[in-house]
Amino acid sequence: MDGSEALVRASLLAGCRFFAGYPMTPFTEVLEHFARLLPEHGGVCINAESELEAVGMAWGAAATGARAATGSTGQGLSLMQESLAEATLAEIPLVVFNMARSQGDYFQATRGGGHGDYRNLVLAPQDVREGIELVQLAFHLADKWRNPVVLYGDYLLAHTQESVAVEPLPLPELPPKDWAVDGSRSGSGVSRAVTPLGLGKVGQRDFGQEGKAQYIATKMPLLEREVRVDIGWIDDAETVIVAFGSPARFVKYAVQQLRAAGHRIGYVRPITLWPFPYDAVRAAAEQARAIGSFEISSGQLIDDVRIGAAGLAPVTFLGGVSTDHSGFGVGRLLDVEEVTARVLALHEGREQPPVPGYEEYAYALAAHQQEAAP
Amino acid sequence: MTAAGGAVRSRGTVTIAVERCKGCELCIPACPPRVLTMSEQVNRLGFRYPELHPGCTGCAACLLVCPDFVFEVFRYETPVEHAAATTAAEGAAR
Amino acid sequence: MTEQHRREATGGDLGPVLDTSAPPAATARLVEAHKPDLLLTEDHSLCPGCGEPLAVRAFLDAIAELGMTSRAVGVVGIGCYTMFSGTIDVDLVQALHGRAPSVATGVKRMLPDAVVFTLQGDGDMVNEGLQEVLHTAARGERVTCILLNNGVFGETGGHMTATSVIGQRTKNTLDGRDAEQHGYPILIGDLIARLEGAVYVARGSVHNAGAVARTRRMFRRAFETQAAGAGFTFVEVLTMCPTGWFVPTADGPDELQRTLAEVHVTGELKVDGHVRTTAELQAENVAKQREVEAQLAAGGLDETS
Repeated sequence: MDGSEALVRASLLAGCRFFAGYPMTPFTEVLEHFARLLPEHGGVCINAESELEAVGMAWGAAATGARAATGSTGQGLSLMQESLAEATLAEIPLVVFNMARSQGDYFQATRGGGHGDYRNLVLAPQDVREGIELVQLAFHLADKWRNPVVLYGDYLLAHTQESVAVEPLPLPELPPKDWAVDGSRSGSGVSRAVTPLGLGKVGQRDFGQEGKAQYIATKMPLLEREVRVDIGWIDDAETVIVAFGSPARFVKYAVQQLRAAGHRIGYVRPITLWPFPYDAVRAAAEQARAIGSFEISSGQLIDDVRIGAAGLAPVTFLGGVSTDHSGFGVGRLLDVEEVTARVLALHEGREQPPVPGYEEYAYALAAHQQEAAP
Repeated sequence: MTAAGGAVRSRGTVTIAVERCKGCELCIPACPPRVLTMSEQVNRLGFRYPELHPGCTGCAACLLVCPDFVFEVFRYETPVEHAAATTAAEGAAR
Repeated sequence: MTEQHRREATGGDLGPVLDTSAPPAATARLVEAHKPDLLLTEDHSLCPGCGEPLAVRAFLDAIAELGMTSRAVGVVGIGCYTMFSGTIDVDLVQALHGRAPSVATGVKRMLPDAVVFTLQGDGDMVNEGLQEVLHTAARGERVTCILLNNGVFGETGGHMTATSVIGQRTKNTLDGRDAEQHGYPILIGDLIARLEGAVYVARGSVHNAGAVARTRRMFRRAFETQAAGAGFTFVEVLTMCPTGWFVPTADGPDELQRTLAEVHVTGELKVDGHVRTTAELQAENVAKQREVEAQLAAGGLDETS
């Protein structure tokens, strides 16, 4: 089956009963599989009229205690940002699929494109097999923390055909959802409210706006214990490459090949993009001479790599903006030879090779842009 | 309504939560027998509030139009009569 | 208007002021309590003369009367009425500005036996959330969207919304809304009535007791229709906002009738899938108002009609 179907089947295994989405490449197949499979499993899938409505519907479904999800690609998630920020305040357990067109949604996912102080957990599978596990983990973490969780996927993950078994992931039991709304406490004097606001029901806990802000601000750092990372060949590595998602598979393969040829290179692969495994990067930077951040973007992951490296070793940007002619998919940089060449260049202290064929599109300064404004 | 001999009969009555009233006066024209008037005094919030005179029918129109849930409405088992003489004298004194 | 009443009222024939501080000593039955059962407190921070509490009372009473209390779930929008999310004794989900219909959709799909309603203002529903309510209606979602329409953004100071009528004075149309500069109002109830997924669409008002009573009946019909699984239901309620309209509180009802009610015509706009004409509605409004006034004069409203 293709990756999209595997992710959907993993969601069903996790007990997902509601999905709403709006078609957009390369996310569309996820919606199609949910539309076909959810009703067969007693769930509901709605083809929402906009991404804004999709996240709203999932919010409502999740508020009743059902495991609910929505998704899109980066542009669609941009539309959902207010809701993701406020869903964090309302403590809505929501799983959000970003089948991204590049790794340039890293900031959106980890910093959040919404307003205010909030964090969403972000999981980035490297392949379909890991995707099946991380989807189930996503629903678990969303319920455990009552927080939105973003599943950062990509075109390759969505469309790769792999022969995989969708197996259940053993996870601990979670307490019942007493907070969920179902009408049963209406008229009781202690009816429930699921709300991002600090306003409480008369006779019940009332945070007030400031109290609510404190409550969420103190909650966010507590999620950092969910950090996950995959590291390889770090102990004696002179050069360490940091990468996530499908591109990380290419990096790992390149590193493996170079190791076989005698080069002391290692890798750090964040599995959770937030919380970011700063400790693992720091440990690598303590002994390595060079850290490389490989990403298919103009450089977003590298900010966190620099924070982690804490100046202990220089951090170099590897990779770049790379896509296919449609703008949706895999570009020329996602190629074992290209990746290997870049990793080796860093390791041998050489300049990064330019991205082939892109020079003609480089931005040229106009006369009035040469100098900084006074 | 006026009974024989000039006495006024009330078929109903209300309680008025004076301190909750915000003086909007929507109840005054809403009352079909026109037995509500605004007070001269003000409540703790500084608002004048409605006062009830004989003749209430217990129709609950005042309750329906009051944004502040000031009224509670009752209907008497037997209509209550208010003496006419006292009524006119006290009314004139106001 | 107020002074006239005061002069009329203290003409001297009214008699003594009666003691209304406690329930009567003589045997009497309670017709109606201070507040609906589903409201936790009478206290609220809304302005004097605000029509919104009247509409809230009407739908809370309808839910209780229909015996739907223990399956009622509300989705509240953002506006002055948001404060009711702390005082309405119903399981609630607070939504973002304009987003209540999609949230209500998710709730209802997971709880098909619940009676799900949204509570939104005109700024929330018709400005920010126009897309959401139209799609929810078109899809025929079995929810009841409730619109409190006062033609202004009350909470932020009384500015014009998409339902403000031509000539209506608001914070940013102090000389009255002008079609040339500000365009035309959207008659949301009428728009929704034309969508096939919407099966019961009504527009009530709270400018007098009769209108409030009619509105309560509209709510009952809407919730009954939802419970029967027929499709999307919609109840719009024209409410007074004397603060936003810059009129004295006692003049709110007249201002409502002079402005909003002229354009957003009240009545049952669509019943059993049949859309009614404005002429039909206007004729019916006159007849109903007379009927209600007669009932009130006779001593009480007939709750069954």
